[in-house]
Amino acid sequence: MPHLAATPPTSSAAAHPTGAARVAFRRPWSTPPRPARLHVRAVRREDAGGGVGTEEPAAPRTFYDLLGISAEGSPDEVRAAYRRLALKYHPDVSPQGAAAENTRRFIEVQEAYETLSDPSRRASYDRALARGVCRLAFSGLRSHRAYHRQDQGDKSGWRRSWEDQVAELKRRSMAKDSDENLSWGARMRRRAEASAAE
Amino acid sequence: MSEHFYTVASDSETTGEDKPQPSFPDVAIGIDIGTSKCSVAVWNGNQVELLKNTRNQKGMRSYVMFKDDTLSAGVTGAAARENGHEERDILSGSAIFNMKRLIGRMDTDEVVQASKSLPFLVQTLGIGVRPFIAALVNNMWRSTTPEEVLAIFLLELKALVEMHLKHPVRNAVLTIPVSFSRFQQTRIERACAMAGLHALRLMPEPTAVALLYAQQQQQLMHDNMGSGTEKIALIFNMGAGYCDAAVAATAGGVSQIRALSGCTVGGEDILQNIMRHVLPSFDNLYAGQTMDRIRSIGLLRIATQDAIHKLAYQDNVEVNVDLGNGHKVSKVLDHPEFEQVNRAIFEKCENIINQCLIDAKLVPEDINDVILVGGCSKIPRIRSLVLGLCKKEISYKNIDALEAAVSGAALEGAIASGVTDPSGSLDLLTIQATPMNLGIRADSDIFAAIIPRNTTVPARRDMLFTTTHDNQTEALIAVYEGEGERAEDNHLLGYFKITGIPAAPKGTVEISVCMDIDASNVLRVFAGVVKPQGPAVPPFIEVRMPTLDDGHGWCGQALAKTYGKTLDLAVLPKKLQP
Repeated sequence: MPHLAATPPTSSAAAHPTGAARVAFRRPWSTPPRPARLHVRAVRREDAGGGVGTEEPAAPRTFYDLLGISAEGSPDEVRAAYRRLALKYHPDVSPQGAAAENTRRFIEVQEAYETLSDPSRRASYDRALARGVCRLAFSGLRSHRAYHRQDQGDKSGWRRSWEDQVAELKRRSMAKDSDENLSWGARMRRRAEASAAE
Repeated sequence: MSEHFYTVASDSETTGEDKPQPSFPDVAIGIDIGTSKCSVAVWNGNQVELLKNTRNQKGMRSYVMFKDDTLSAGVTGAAARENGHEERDILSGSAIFNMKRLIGRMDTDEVVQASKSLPFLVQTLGIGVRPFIAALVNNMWRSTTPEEVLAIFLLELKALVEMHLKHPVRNAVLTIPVSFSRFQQTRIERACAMAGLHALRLMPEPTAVALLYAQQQQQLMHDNMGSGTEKIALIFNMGAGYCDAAVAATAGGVSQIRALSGCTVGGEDILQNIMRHVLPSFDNLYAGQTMDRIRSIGLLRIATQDAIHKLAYQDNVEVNVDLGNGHKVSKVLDHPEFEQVNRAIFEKCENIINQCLIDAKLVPEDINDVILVGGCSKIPRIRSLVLGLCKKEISYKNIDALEAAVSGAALEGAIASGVTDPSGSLDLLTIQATPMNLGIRADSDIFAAIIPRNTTVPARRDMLFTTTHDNQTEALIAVYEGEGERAEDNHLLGYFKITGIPAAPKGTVEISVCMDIDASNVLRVFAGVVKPQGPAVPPFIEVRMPTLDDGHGWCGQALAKTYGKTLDLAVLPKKLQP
């Protein structure tokens, strides 16, 4: 399915407020939230105010949340969580309709796994997390946003993700007609227009 | 089989349009196209079954014989007079073999150059175009191409499977060497399309073996109620044409490919080395591809091949053959001599295993099992070398060295076709990795890898670049695949220009190049200006690769000659993380 597969993994805000994400990650909040995540909660409330989500937070904001393990999780737990999620999101095991979305999620899971399974990368990720820098959370997302990001100014992570969610909501309300029929380039242009219009 | 029995079907995208046909179970078959032998297997509802030809062979010689108006492949071996003489007929110049070595290669490739000592005609101009290949028919050279030969072979193979299964077959999973470029993969897909098969998936050979291993481990766990801890296997596969290694981590039916490496070294190289060793003057004895030369090559090849096989079980062997015209070969070959002559080959094998371990960030002690597969895994020196590097006494036993790859391909075929098994023996997943770096040319002739090798697929990575001249408004994105540090040492997959870059001092514009490999292993490149932003910036460009038809050496040179450094890009150093 070249067409579906071409669908780029767009901003996570596009999908995470949906119910599917909650089902997918049943235990994202099973661990006590760290201070860094307080910002995220605030963001989620903003999101809820937009009428999309509910009070219950659904979008995992750290690699630990994404893999559904605690920050103290052992390397074996990291591997087991990775395998569990791979069996859920790898395109080979995904139903036809969800392949593109799951591919995007698989790439996120892969990044989380690669970071947390490497002791030195995990240590520096933990340090960044302790400083409250969520920006490191998904370099994959960051790079996708690079295509439509209007300013390159140095912003803290939570502010950017908030802006992205707002932009996403605007884009969604503006472009209700099915995005799926557009090419990747067309969607990116539309998105760039939306963020330029802010 | 007459020539017009096969039709050249469109080789354009066939993915996505396959509708499941309810009339018969459309399970993809597994095919292992070997340089020397091919085999085919299918999931029969309970297990993988290897199919045999009418001569009761599971491994069928890979060749196509050209005779008058008929073509016949090694599947049935109809052209060969009888079993004992098949090899001699194959070496008569009328048969094309080793197509897996030749497919998708340019005439500057050293593998193509080495193929000139084969009995059929391989003509090269050495300028980076396709070699000219021909078979001897009624004392005339008749031209063909490696993918045409492969297509004819696959057609006969397909007929064999359909006869056995009693229903049409459409989809196939094929195994390929790790070192196959995207061009070679395209050629394989094209050959399949010509034969009326849809290549559902091309699987690097050691990863097919890893899948079989994962299934066995899963089974063991069920039987013993084991803990399901992760097991790490090093798979070493060496056949007649290629040599590959992979490190796979397996647990709970999930097989994760941690590292892959491979090179074009195999039994064919060992054979040619020994042939040259026992008759050093061979290349000077005959000028051109004369009938005398073809006959002598054939005799020498058979004698040498036989000696190498015997040497796997005995201490020394005598090569004794009369090539006619007063040329005689009589030589005793022992193990030290054999190993000395092929030292460079064994070194390459060591290199790919070491590379694999380094890439997987593992030490030999981490490896649970060493799996040796392929025809050359029977060579004592190869066994001791691989086991020595992995610090193991013995290799994994439950896998047949010659049937592992095709069995894995058939398993993948069943899984990819959506077959489920109540016993759970198909609840398997292979997480593949890229075998080669993918990137673009930057900083004059440097290869900037955007998706490094051994990246898990599907994958999406990007990198920022900048202009190298003031007020540069256009930039050339030349996409390469390979392991070389210089861009020119890699395969040029395609190119396109970014135009309308806002005029600015050099180094200030930011150009993002993103590479995406999707679930079907399709590579796309997205590129465009990300800084400055605004309505004056052109839209992004999305290009599916490869855009070139062949690994065409001329394109890279023409680009360099025409544009020089005027359209160059430079890698933008990564900004410090906050």
